[in-house]
Amino acid sequence: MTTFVIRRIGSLLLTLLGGYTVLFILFFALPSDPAEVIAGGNGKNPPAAVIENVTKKYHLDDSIPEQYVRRLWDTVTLGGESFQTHEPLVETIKTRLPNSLRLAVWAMLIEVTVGISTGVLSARRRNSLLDTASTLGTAVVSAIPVFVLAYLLRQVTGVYAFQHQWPEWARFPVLSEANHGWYLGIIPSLDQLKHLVQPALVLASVSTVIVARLTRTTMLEAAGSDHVRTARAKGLRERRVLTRHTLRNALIPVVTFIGIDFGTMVGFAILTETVFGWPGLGSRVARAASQSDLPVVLTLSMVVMAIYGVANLIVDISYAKLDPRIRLGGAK
Amino acid sequence: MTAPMLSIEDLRVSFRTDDGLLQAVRGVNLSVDAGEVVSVVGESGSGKSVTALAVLGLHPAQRSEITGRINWQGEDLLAASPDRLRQIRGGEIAMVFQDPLTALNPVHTVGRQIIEAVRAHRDVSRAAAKARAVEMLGLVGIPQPQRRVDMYPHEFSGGMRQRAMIAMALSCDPKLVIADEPTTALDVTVQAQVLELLVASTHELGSAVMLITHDLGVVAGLADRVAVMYAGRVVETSSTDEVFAEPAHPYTIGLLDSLPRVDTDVEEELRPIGGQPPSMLSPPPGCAFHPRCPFASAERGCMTELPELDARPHAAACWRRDELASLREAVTA
Amino acid sequence: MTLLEPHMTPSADDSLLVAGPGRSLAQDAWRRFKRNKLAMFGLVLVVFLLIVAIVGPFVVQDPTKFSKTVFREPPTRQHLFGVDHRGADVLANVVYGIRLSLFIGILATILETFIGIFIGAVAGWFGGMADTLSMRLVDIMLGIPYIILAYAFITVLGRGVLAVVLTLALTAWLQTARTVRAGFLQAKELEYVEAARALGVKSWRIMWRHILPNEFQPVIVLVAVGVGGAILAEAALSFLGVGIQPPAPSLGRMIADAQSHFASAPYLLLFPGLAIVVTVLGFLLVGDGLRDALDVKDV
Repeated sequence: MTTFVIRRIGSLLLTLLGGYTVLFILFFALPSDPAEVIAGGNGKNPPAAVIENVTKKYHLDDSIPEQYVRRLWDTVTLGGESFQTHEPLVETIKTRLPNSLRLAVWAMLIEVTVGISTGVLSARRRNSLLDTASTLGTAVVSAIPVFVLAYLLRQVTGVYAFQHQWPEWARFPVLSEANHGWYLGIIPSLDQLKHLVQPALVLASVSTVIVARLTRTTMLEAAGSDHVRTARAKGLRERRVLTRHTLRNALIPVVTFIGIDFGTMVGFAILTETVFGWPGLGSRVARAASQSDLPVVLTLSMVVMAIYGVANLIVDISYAKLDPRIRLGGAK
Repeated sequence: MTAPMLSIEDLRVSFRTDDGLLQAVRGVNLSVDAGEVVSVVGESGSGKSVTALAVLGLHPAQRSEITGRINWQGEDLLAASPDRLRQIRGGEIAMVFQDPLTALNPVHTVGRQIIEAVRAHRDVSRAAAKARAVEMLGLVGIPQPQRRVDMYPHEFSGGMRQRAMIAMALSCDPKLVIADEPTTALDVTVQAQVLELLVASTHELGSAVMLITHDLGVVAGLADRVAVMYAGRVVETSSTDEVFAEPAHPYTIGLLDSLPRVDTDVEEELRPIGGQPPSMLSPPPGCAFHPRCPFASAERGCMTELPELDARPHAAACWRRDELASLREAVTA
Repeated sequence: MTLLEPHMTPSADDSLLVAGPGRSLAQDAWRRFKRNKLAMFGLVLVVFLLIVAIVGPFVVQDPTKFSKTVFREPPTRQHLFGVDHRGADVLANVVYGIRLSLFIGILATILETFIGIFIGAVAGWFGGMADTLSMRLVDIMLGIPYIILAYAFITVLGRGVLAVVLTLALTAWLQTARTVRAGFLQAKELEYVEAARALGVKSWRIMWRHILPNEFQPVIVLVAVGVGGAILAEAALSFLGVGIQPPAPSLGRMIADAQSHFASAPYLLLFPGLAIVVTVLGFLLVGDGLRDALDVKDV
């Protein structure tokens, strides 16, 4: 167990270093003049003085190996600041990471409750209306770009609702902020809830349909398995057969997916956060990208990769708890 | 004579499939007395497992059609309420499945799985149920049962897993244990051991056994009575000795001829039965065995009329039963 | 509850259920595909969009012709999808946008598939260092948020249409490579492959002639799903303003532009949005149908 964790952490660090290297090469080594990219923002022609300023500030005239090491150090220590806003990156992460976590936690709650229950129901009533609808719904939701879905939602609850005098509880603000109060850092106040619901729903949408489909498949597989027949032949009550034998086994892959997906949602919610103006890491990365604020993009990406890697690690460890056949570090 | 403990009367089981109605069992009559070991023998596809699952009501309702009667100590199981059926499953009739690796849940310990079986039928504490689990594991010859009880199925060997399965089946003192090919998935070396253990431990508890197998050879020393099944019907049934001494159906003859004999000095050639078992989507008219039967005769009606199991103590379903002895001599001559 | 599948019923034996003789695998798959209503619906969508992309430009107005008098007008008989804030016909822009999306999606997927097959085959077949390095690279690239990765490539390659195609291809081959590698690892153990090796048949020949054709099924599913994915990715990049530059008609950018008018002129957003959804949906449904028809798992 301990050796497994140590080995996995080593492997994670190696992956992170690889990720840093890939991004460094693409951002700083390959472009003919990264200073021009950074100074120019989105494809404009910056004045020479600004380029020179940028070159000095980021030591872009150093040799590539020197830059590699210096930038790596900056990234690891979360040093440096935004070229555009001059905000130190440590501050950016301190204020934005909690917001990303909050959004991801609530999206995951939606994913778990709606996804799993829909999956279980459509497995139990195979070929029912719900089942067919969830099949089509899966494809449709996966085909809708997040930003289109977000606009549809805003159009209905944010614009139409106000125009047509819907009841107060059905009206939602168009832009979602994250500074209206949280209890224990994670439970939203009533006012905050209004700002949270829409981005959480949108962020959860694709994951939820995937969880529903996955649950349906694994439920059907488990329900047809020999050991469930044994459980029934023992004279267990249907409720127990369902919970202890069918669901218990069917949920192993689902829980694994949700764990990895949580890691994804914390850092990869770039589109959702941008559309709703949610002040998390994703929207900051998107803004930095559109302004060519490369150092910000690089550092925040590494933070996100680390979170993703840790989530994966936790999933791997808990997998062995869920399925006793898996030995950590051993073959499957 | 009192009524048998279990008697199956004219049981028919069909499944709706994409290719049509599949008649898996087509009028089975079979009985088991208290404490008796009855073996049901047949090729895969003869309907023996389907019959067993029907007894416990384990076929899915939407896709199967079941008719006939299954009398269990005077009540008809096909008409029993789900709750009553649940009491009977495991409590009065227990089942041992073919492959213990898939039949046990991989994510629960062996002990937990026995405990939940016990507690499904008896109002006992978890600790008492666990004590019972340990006791049963010991009974079926698992070494160090106190330690083994907390292990997972994958940590057992194949033979040990099936022993655990047997322990689970016996944990509630069932009156009947249905064992569906209990050793097919095991190593040849432990098959005999496990079978003997199954019969011995059920005998010790006074339970009856319905032993389902495709291997007539394993039946010889263990079963009191044999029922031979072919294409969804019982074609011959009697005491084991009589069936072996004087088979009364050409299919049984074929099965016996394909067994290696150790009790004769004569060098005999093994003769497998030619041909394939029939499709149950469209079984052949007449006697289902006639396409493979060396003695089939149009005049006797083999191709057109379905022979019923006759009413003799050594019952068989063959139009030419009384001619078989002379027919066999003619063939060997 | 009766979730229980019927226990191996006797005549559920394989011999009874296999398809009749003389039917090829492709015919069999097509027969199953045709029975799947959703898949056929997807196929109809894809064919329809291809027709729109080919014939559309001859029918609609010039997407770059801006009216000087009409701005932000809801759908009329003259402008079925309305007029945007610049005075351009939305229908024309959507048609050209679909055309560009399909072009980018299909081309990027073809490229991506070749890259994925090549890397996956080399990793799976030769193993050792080649395998370790390429699979580590796959892990790393999958760990970087997709949009950041694509943006990083765009920083190097630029924002022309072909540069974006190349970017999408260079970021999308990961899954294909993994799948192909797994197939090659399995195939290496097969007897006919071992036999061919023992006979001294050259590696690349075994790979090309004997193994690759068997990898066709999972790859074709990945291609169908991949086109949908590439179109979505392009739209996302353009939406964030880091994708294709104007005047190329990108659906994603149309949506981003419509963003500021969405309360007063929702049709500006609705039609390009719908176009993306329909296009991606078509390919996803076809991909799902192929997956079922070819009985491909784990893709």
